[in-house]
Amino acid sequence: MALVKLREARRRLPVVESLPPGRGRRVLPPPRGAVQRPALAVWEFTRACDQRCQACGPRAGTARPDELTTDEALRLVDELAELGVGEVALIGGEAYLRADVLWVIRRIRERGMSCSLTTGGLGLTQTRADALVEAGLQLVSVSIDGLEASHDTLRGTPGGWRRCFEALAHSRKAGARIAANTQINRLTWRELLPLGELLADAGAEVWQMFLTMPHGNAADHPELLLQPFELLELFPMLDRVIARCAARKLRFWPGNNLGYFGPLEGKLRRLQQEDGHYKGCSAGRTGLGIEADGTIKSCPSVGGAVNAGGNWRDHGLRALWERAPEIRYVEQRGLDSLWGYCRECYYADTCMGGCTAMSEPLLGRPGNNPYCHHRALEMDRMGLRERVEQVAGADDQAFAHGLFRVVREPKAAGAGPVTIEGPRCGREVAFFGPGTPLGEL
Amino acid sequence: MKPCSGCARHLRIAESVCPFCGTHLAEGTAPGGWGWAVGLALLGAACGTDKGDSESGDATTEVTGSTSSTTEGTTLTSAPTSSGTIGGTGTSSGSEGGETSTTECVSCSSSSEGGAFIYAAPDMGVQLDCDPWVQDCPDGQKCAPVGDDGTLTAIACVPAANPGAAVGEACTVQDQPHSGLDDCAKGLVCFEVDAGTLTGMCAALCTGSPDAPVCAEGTTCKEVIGDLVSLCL
Ligand code: SF4
Ligand code: SF4
Repeated sequence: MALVKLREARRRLPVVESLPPGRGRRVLPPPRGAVQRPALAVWEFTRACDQRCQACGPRAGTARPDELTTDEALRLVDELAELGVGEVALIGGEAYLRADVLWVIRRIRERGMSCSLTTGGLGLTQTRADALVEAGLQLVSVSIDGLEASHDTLRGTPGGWRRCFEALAHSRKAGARIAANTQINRLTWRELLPLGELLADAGAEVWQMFLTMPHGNAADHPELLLQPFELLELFPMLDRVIARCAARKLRFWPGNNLGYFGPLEGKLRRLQQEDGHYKGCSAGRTGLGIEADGTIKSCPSVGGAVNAGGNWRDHGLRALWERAPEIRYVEQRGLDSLWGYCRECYYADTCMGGCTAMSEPLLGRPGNNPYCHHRALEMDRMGLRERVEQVAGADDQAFAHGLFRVVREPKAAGAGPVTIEGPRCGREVAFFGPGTPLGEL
Repeated sequence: MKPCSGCARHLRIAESVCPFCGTHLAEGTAPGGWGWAVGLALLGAACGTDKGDSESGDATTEVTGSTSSTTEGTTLTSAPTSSGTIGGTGTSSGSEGGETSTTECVSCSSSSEGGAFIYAAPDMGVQLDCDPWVQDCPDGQKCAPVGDDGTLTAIACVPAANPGAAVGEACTVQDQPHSGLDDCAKGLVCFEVDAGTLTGMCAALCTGSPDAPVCAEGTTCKEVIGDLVSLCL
């Protein structure tokens, strides 16, 4: 792939008076029997990155071996538009490291879709921000994990936290709306309130936060994960964060692995969901993920063969979206794909075990998710608590995961476990259903 | 689902007693529906479709294992558990990937979806061009919610009728129910618009701030679209 420089890419970008507004993520229900169109496509534009973060899912750093060329990327944009996608969210790696992203952004907007970017912000200079916004970028969300010391530790880049705030300022000055993404983990969870104030001061409009997921680089750092029972402390803290966000006009935007169904659910999701509560994993239902080499998957945050429908180069987008079993999995599974506590849960048929990207890397398959506020509350009510222990590490692939087990034990210190729920076989062995225990690890 | 008035937990619509806090609920009560309810979806697209209330036979879930104990007059209900008995068209797909499943419910997917996909940027939400609480638009304009298809797309300055219709008076909107173009006075919006006749009734937007809303006597400030748009009703 011939690399083009930013200045050259910008010079070749036609000057336009205006671009169509962009449809956004809204979708209406499909006609009976029709497949829902994806409202949101999240596109890892390149896996090349200027940072090496401890909690990076795709283990970004170097580009994937066979990333889409500019021409291919532009054709893929056309197919996204034809499929009815309303918004393309560019992620990475670091999308701005490919200057042809300008042409892709422009094509996204010309085709009537909205365009946003999630960035680590390290190299988002004023020049880059100006060029991106000129191309048509509408929203820049900078990943900021806690206060300075925590962020710089997690990202491994001294000075990186300050550059994030500069990136926000550059983007805003360039005319983009600005937002932030924050991972909640051992280092950051007590820093959300002060971080929120700084984001509001910086002019951020929206703040998405989510629990660090045990895949990719984070699978090598299980010490970063909060324990499920700590959600009992986290959620009251989030309550205060939500109140401050409202006061500062910073819209709180919970990621899909933050929930579910505790007393705070309505507050968490009242601006996100029509009925104010989580409605199950939407992998392959209302959104899709694209990897830099054209692999189409059900959600940007999942990985591995069980989640990849195939490559766009081989099949085109519509065929994969409508027919690939790996993409249609969530739509086609039933309650019998739940197991453990989730199978017996009051909310089982609505929640379906929460976020696949959280449960699968933990326990080997989706359908049982200890990272749940309702579940932590019910455990607490029974005098119990749950924690996770890693029993197998991950390989070095993007989104690779290890395995964990859930230890359910009395809250009182010193007592032994009541039950231990081990990991189960992956969906490559049993695609649907609850799977079978893996036995001793 | 509906929120419990006692503990705010979400409950199935048919629930008459909250299994979590014991509060008695009006059976079948759904959350209040406003003309703009669908619009909330654009404030942020949702993740997944709602299956919890598909009580028409696609999926049935039986609550079992609830036990109650009374402490100082409060009924506490221990961890309710459900055993999903799946029947009818909702039979789970199992290992062969059947055609329908309990997660397929086109009819109960009421509106928009999209998601808070982790790693993606959060939703852009609506464009906020003005502040409806303080009505900061230029003379001759008013700050009002604007949308299409029942979905809020912006809080924007729109032409204000002068003199416009007053609170409680009939009003008419132009083009479509949520165009924002109505004949109510500044600070008012045409509410509960009939999609066929494009007529409704003028209601006042709350003034003050979300933390300290101000309404005329006899009305209270109610959120209509999250905390972005609130009306004195
Ligand atoms: S216990 Fe499982 S099914 Fe129940 S709300 Fe929590 S994640 Fe969802
Ligand atoms: S895996 Fe998680 S982030 Fe992905 S669609 Fe499902 S709930 Fe959303």
